[in-house]
Amino acid sequence: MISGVWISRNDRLLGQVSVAIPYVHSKRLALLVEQMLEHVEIAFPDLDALAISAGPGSFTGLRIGYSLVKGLAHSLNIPIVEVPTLDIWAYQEGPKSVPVLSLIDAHRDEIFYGQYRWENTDLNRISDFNLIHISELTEIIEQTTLLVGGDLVKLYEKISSLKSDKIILPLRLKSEPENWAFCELAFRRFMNGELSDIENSEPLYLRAFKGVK
Amino acid sequence: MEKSLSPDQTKQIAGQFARELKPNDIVAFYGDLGSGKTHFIKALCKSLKTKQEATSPSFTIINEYYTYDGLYIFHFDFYRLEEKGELQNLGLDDFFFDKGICLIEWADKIVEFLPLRRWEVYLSFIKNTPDGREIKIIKLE
Repeated sequence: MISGVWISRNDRLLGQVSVAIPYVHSKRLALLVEQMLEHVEIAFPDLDALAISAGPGSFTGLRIGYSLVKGLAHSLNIPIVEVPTLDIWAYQEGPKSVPVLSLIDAHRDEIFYGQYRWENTDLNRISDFNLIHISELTEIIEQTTLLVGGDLVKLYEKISSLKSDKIILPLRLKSEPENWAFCELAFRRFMNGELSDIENSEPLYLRAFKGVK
Repeated sequence: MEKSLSPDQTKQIAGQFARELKPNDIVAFYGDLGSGKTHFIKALCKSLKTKQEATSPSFTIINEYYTYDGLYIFHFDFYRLEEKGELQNLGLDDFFFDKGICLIEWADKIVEFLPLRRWEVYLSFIKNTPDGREIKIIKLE
């Protein structure tokens, strides 16, 4: 899991600081923000918006990220731009002629997914975000579809065992989303006015909590 | 099923069991109050060479320890859990599907949330032997 902070001017990445060791979110995330701003010589009051990869993903990681972003947004009085993590995975593969299904491992043989279609350089989500058993993938894929997502490496065997001729996998499987894709999507949302504030922003947990009384 | 006739013997059994554990293992502990779950876990953590001594997480719910090799041990105690909705704010899957080892006291309170692949350790009293315990260890695949 990556704990990282990126800064962009318009849609251009200016700086990044990231750490890929476990359990650093709670200890280091705020420090990473401070250090990165120092590196690019930008002060907190110069920021126009704060973007966050909105999940789904690690429950604790999302909570910590959101706490920090909400705290900063409140004190700086600037908006929040929430970018669903599945959008980033779909976007970073670039325009495709076939539909794209972006997925994340939800454990217990379940996946979170979203379906997308490219129209020229625009990526449109054509399904809700959903949680399904991995064996149901063949039911929701109606035509040849590219699967993307960082957990494909982990899920490769299970997906292969579905023996679907409609599933295409990327040539290179990546384990972390690309920061440039996150920055570009965040900038697009910012320019489109897709903004949140501390009241209405919340992580995409997706998993229905089973067994709650 | 093993029989321990003293706390020291329980420590030995815990030490042997520690050698079986690998990163990402989950161990669910079952047993009445005073049956020695925390005692067993203390010995287990000592054998795993955690930097910190294991203590009961009855009030903190989760204690974190780590070894000199960088292995994380998450020690849970769900004795005080009153309703399952409380689990929503713990993000249990982050622990259960990570690289650390999870040791869970009062696992019966959350059994439907546990991954199927896990170890189960049952501790029970032996009649007329105050320090004696029956210890059953099962591996579920």
